Amino acid sequence: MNNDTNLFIEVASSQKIKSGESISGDTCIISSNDSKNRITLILSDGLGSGIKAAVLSSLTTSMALRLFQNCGDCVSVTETIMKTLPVCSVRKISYATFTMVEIQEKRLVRVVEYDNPPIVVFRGGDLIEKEKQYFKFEHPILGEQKFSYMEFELQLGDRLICFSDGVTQSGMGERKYNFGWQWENAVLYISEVISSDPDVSARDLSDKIISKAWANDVFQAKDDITCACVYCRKPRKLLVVTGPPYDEQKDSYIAYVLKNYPGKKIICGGTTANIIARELGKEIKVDINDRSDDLPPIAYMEGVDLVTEGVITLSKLFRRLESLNQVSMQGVLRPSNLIDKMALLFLHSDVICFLVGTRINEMHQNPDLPVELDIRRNIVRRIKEILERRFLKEVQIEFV
Amino acid sequence: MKKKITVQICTGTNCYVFGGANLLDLEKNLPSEVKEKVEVKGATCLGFCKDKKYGKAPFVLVEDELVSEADVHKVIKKVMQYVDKVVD
Ligand code: FES
Repeated sequence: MNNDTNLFIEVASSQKIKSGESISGDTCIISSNDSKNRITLILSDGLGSGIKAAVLSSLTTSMALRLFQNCGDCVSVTETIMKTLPVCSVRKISYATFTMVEIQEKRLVRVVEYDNPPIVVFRGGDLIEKEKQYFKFEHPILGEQKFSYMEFELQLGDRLICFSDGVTQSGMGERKYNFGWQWENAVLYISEVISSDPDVSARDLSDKIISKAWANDVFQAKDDITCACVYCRKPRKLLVVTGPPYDEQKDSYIAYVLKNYPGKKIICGGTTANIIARELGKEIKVDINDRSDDLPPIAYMEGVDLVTEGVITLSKLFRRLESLNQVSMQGVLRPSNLIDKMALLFLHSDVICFLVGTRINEMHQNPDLPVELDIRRNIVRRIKEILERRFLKEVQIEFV
Repeated sequence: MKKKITVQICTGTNCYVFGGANLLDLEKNLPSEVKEKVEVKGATCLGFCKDKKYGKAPFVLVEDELVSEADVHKVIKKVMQYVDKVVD
């Protein structure tokens, strides 16, 4: 029963780069396979900082991702990775550490940890300890090496939080934390955040942890600071209605769906908004003073979170989403800007349903048009693809 | 006091790309003695773009008179015809 649409796995990561460096030596990737029944998260910390560390950690994450995704046996995969990775023969340590989290069918969690701070597991507001198995093997250069493996059943409300040592060691040498923030204090902080906001998203939690660690370092990160969170929860839903239905008989249908949808609602398109307003007996108010980004102004309708123009706005939204990545995207989005506000509504949702009307607006095909307007269906398809691939959202499209 | 003259600027996609964007600042361009007699509103697609008989976008409604291929000058001219009728 776990594998239903009432559960959603949110995964998010955040990062601060070591002060003075231009690239992070930690790498974190989040990926889902094509059939979307498996999510893999890998966080690797490369030895040192800067380019060299970045190369080492991205080498580790991409190798680990391929192997874990294609091979069932975590233990032998981990041994292979550890034997293959370059090592520092002087310091007799591996060049990169890593944590791998895999979630299958929204149910089975498997975690492999090699030398990173231990993963934190919360069930609701409680820290829980899952039994770990430890594996040892002989490394040709480094000698005996150890890593841990654990698996358990994921439940609604579970959170998994992993971070690089830039988090646990933050604040080291500062007056408050002589030995750094340390794992225990990080856990304490996480439990405070969860108890003050029991529904805190993976996105916000990882941003908060990063900000706190950065503050410990007095806003000059002494090492790369990276955190990734997984949160299993009920999905937050968003409905986007765009375009008039092909058949006018369906006008009442789109209005009905919008009215009864359990989640946030956006209407993209003036004609669409007119149809819904007419069907539901609502009023639309256009605020011509509220304009940003060279876009037609937004409008207001009771019961709808956002009413915008259609194809121009959707095209811009697509380009904006394309310019973002998973890591710390929140910081760059400004809610005062229409497209960013819209992007935030999408990114703060887990399941997004598009109800796309297919009536062609002949005027949009007009050769005299000063700008080229894309066909609504194509833009929506492209938005769906990027939301699924890059942001791991569940997206459905219904054409009417 | 008499009712204000209503001006509705279409902000639908067609009107917007055909120059409606420039009309959104109409209010600023109104002569100051006229400004208080006029209410400028935005509107979602007014429907005129769907039928050639109404002429070309952008469309503006001044009270219930349609201005097609509207620009700031055309709209102000039309508004002025009404201003003369609205005497307080
Ligand atoms: S877009 Fe202005 S009348 Fe249709």
